[in-house]
Amino acid sequence: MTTNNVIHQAVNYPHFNPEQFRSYFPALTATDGEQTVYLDSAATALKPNAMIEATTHYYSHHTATVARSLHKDALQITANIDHARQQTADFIGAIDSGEIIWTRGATESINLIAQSYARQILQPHDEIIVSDLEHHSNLLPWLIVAEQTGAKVVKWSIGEIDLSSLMTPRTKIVAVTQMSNVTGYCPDLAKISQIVHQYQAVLLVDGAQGVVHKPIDVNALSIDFYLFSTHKLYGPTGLGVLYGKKSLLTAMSVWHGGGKMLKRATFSGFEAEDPPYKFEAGTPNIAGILGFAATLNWLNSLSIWEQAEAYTEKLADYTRSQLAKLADITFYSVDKSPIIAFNIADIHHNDIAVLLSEQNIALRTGELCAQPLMHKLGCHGVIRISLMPYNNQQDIDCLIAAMQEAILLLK
Amino acid sequence: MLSPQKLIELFAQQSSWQDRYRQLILLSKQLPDFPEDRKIATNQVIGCENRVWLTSYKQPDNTVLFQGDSEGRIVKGLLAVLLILVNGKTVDEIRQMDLLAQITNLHISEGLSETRLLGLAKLIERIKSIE
Repeated sequence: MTTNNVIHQAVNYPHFNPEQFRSYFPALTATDGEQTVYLDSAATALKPNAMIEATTHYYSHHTATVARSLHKDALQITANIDHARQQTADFIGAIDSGEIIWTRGATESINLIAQSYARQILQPHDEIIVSDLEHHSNLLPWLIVAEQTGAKVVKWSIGEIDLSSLMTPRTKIVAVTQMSNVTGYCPDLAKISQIVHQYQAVLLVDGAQGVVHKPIDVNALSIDFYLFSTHKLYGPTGLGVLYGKKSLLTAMSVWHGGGKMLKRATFSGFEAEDPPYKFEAGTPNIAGILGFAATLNWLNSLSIWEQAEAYTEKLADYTRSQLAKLADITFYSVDKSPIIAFNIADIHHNDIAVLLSEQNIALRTGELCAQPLMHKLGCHGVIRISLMPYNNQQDIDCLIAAMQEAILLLK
Repeated sequence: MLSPQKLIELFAQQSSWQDRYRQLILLSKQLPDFPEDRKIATNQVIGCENRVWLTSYKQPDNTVLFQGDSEGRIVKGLLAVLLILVNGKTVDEIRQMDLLAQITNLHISEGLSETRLLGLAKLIERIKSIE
């Protein structure tokens, strides 16, 4: 059995060395105990040493607060957090670091927009168009604000209906994913943005799944709101990023009330801070932000993005071809996607999950927080393998052997 | 169906994780057919990721007979094990049983009883809620 030959021979990667990339992740190089084959990166990515060390360093050596105290470490941390905001802005093509808000994750970012932007501008019978590919976190906040305001959530069956045909003067917001967490489909954001802005509506793009696979330029695409969770981009859990165009952020109402989101406060009222601070009440996830800044530095220093994705595509091709040989398989995901969603005829997805877990294979099964999409696909759940450039052919060969064992037991 | 004592012996005799699952799946196949027309919302156990249906019938001697089905073979196997343990017992007897401990003691798999998504706890809750 040769390892990696199929994948390595297929494409030449002068700057990307898969085994070297793998070595940055301690979870993949641990020598104690049985090694798990990690194929659940769409749920959360593994963490590189650079991120882990930056977080540990903060807790071990320089624990201090941000934007409050005036002692040496606190001032340095404040400067580092500001720098991280600029790095994040550069990473997604935002012009101004003041357009970057730290949140707890993609979910909180969307809820913030729904409550601080949408709730303020929506009138009864206004419309929010939401694609039918969305994760519940890009659907529920809109259903909630629709109930609060009398607005209506309109389903966009992506790939079947042209967005233009749904747009009306009542359309105020269009919410769409950068990459589906089930099918891996990536909508044409340039085209969508053009249509949305023809109608003076606002475009929100959920980057939770796409951010780690496709670089985005929010300014070039004229995206109004863009957001993601850092933990799917090799970063820490509990931290999210929300980008908003400055003019929109300035006009928006505040989100949570608390420390440092205000300029003045009395018992009769308060004056809000300017963005981004007016949306950041309370002490932020300092260790997370510093860990994320280290993640971005690490990613920038590698500059392997395109080749790493080309490698992952080849690995996805290999995975699909090996799976197809195993049994009668229905694929739901698009070709070449790092996300591979499927079902095996006459076998329940959760049976596979249990039997693969026994063999130390980590993947995800079920509705993947996308019940409306499951309904469209005509199933109650799927098996999802999600690949990253740290996966290799050996991972896939282990998966296939484990699947054979599972199918044998279940037949 | 097996007696509860035979059930313990059956799993104790298996030497590999594959064999234990194989037995669990065989048990699932021994469950009596569940009528399709009874797979309705009121018979569905809420909180299980797999769809599970459960009905019960109280006999003249006050003992209960459960019948159930699930779309996954492993969950259906766990359901079969539970029904072996509770069928023919009275409501009071069932309420006093520690069903999770009894399943754990079969040592089918370390992770199986802790897997919240499989809904074993919800299934036990539903069985115990019978009046």
